[in-house]
This record gives sequence, C-alpha cells and structure tokens, in this order.
Amino acid sequence: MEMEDVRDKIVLAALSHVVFDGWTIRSLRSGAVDAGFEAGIVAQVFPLGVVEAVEHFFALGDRRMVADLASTPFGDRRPRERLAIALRCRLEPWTRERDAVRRAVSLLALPPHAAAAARCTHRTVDAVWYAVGDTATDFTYYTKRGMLAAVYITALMYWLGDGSDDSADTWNFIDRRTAGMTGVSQLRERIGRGLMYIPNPLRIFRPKKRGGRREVGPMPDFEL
Amino acid sequence: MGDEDGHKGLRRRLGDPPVGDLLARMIRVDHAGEFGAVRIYQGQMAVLGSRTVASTLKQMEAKEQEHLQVFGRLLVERRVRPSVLQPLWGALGYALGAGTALMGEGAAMACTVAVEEVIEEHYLNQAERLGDSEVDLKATIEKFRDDEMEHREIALEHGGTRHPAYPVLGMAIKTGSRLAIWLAARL
Repeated sequence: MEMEDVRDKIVLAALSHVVFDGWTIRSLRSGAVDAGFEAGIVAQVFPLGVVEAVEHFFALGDRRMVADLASTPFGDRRPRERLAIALRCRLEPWTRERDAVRRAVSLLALPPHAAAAARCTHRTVDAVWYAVGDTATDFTYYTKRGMLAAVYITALMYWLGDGSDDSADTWNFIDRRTAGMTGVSQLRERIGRGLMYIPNPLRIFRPKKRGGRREVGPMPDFEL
Repeated sequence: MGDEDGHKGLRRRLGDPPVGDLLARMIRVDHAGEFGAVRIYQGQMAVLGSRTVASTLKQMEAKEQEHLQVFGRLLVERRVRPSVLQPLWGALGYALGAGTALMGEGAAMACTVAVEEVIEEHYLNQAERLGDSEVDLKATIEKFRDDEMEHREIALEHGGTRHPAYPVLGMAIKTGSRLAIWLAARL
C-alpha cells in the first residue's frame, strides 16, 4: 500500500476520535487501530506529529475536491460561478465531519502553527484556481490566490458556524463573496483602460506618427 | 546523487534543491527571462518604432513572445509559480530597452548582443544540467538557444559591438542579467 493511502485511512478513521479528544496523538493511534494498523504506525507515517496529520487532512480534502471537480465539467459556466462551485465542493463533503474540521482549524490558528496554516490555505486556493482552469502566468497569479484565500478562509469560518439547513447560508455567502471578487477585477480593468489614455512619453522621440491607436499589451487571459 | 525516478541524467550539484524544485526553478527563470526579453524589445520599439530597424525588432519580439508562451504553458502544466518579481522584470526590461534605444540604434543593438549572450550561456548551462533527462524540455531549450544566437547575430550585423559604449554598457548589462537570472530562479 502506498504511504499516502495509509495516511488517508488513518486520518479518516481518526476523525470520529478527534471529535471527542481533539487532534492528538492518541486519537491518531485510535484511528490507526480502527483502520486496521498497529497503533505504532502513527509515528512512522506522521513523524512530525499531529500538525502533519492535520496538514494531510486538508491536503486530502483538496485532492478530493480536484477529483470531484474533474468528474463534473464546468461547461460554459462563468469563472466566478466556477469558483463558487469549487469552494462548495471543497466544504460540502465534510459536513458530517464539521466538528473535526473545526478542531483542525483551531489547532492551526495557534501562533506556532502559522506556517502550516499558510501552507494549507495556499494549497487549497492553488488547487481551486488550477481546477477552475486558470492559466495565469503573470502577477495576477499571486493576486488571484490572495483574493481567493480571503474568500476561502471567511467562507470556512462561516461554514463552521452555519446552522442553516444544508448550509444554504454558506453557499449564499460564497456566491456574494465571489461576486465581490468580480468587482475587484472590473475595477482593475477600468483603471487599466484609463491608463491607456496617458500618452507614452517615449513617443516624442519618434520622428513621425504612425496612424492608428496605440498598441495595448495582451490582456490577462482569464478574466473574472 | 539523489536522483529520483525519471531523472537519472539530471546533474545535481552539492547543495542543490530537490529535483522537482530544480526543474521548477529552471522553468520559472526561463519564463521570467523571456518575459524580460519581450519587454526589452517593446521598449526599443517604443523609441525606434519608426526607423528601418523596426521590422527586425518586431520579428525578434515575435520570436520571444513565442518562447514566452511555451514557457507559460509549461508553468501551468507543471504547476510552477511564476516569478514574484515579474512586475519588476517588466519595468526593468522596458526601461533597459527604451534607455539603450534613446542612446541610439547602435547602443540598442549593443544591449541586444549583451543580453542574448547571457541568455545563450544560460540555456547552454541548463541543457547541460538536464543531461539525458527531460528530453522534450531539453529540446525546447536547445531550440530556443539557437533562436537567441540568431538574434545575437542579427544585432552584430547591425553593428552591436562597434558602439563606443559597448565595453562598458555590455559588461553592465551582462552583470545585471546574470543577477536577474539568479533572482528570478529563486523568487
């Protein structure tokens, strides 16, 4: 069996213990036993301890989301709808394990685990952007991930405290926030269009004017 | 040492990052480099746009755009992040192109010679390190290296090295380009 499979099984089996004991070595060991391994295997597959297991738990969620999204093509949906679908797809399968997720989030919220938390967030938003078919190779690569990280984290918090039926409030929240991202990119586009009208100072060195409009650089290929 | 499956030929030196990171760095720096090259030609064209060299510049820029697109595709395919300093490369490249072009056509060509020489050396270095691994990537890099050498030849024909400022200017640009390569691979 692959190392990753073993880790997946242990983490998933540990979830029911995590609800009561939190993310501890003890709940991981119980999970390992439930999954049919020896309790001692935990130290081998998660040598760095509990935080490594929590990171694996989030990475596992990302992998499942990517697999789920791959099986349901987006068709001609607009980018922000795709993002909303992807975020929902990230959270929804874990509804029954919401308490375990909550305990994972509160563990990662502790200052010593800031780096792990940042890694988990990055991994998720990165996976989402690639999954929705983004091909940015300019600086928007970073701004897109930054914006989505803010949306994802707030959506995760909202979802953890969401008491509505089938978390309907969270899905509405995600729709509103992704719509807000569209506003940002529209603003950026407007600024870019405004800047186009500022003359190029280097043009005065050209002896004669050539007709036609100024050339504009290629627009980013993935607009919200 | 430390060669993982599929990368038997890749030459790693002591202190190098793991194979995956090494390849990521290569693609990242190449993408940033081609982006910088495009910006240099765009800067030159902003000044020399109506001279007779404009068509030559345009051709060279088109070639660099092509290279940029190939590396852009590789970035996405291999999930490699682009260089964080990309806005800086855009501004510096444009400034370098426009600045040398303002000094005259000769200086612009001197700049092209210097830059293409560094890029050529950089690609040769990469192809060497890839060894027998990553056959496709290596072929791409070698093809692009030929293109860059052609650009250097064109710039030489236009009197790139005859410009009086070439020894100083060329040296400065080469040093700057090497520093940019070092940075773009890492950041």
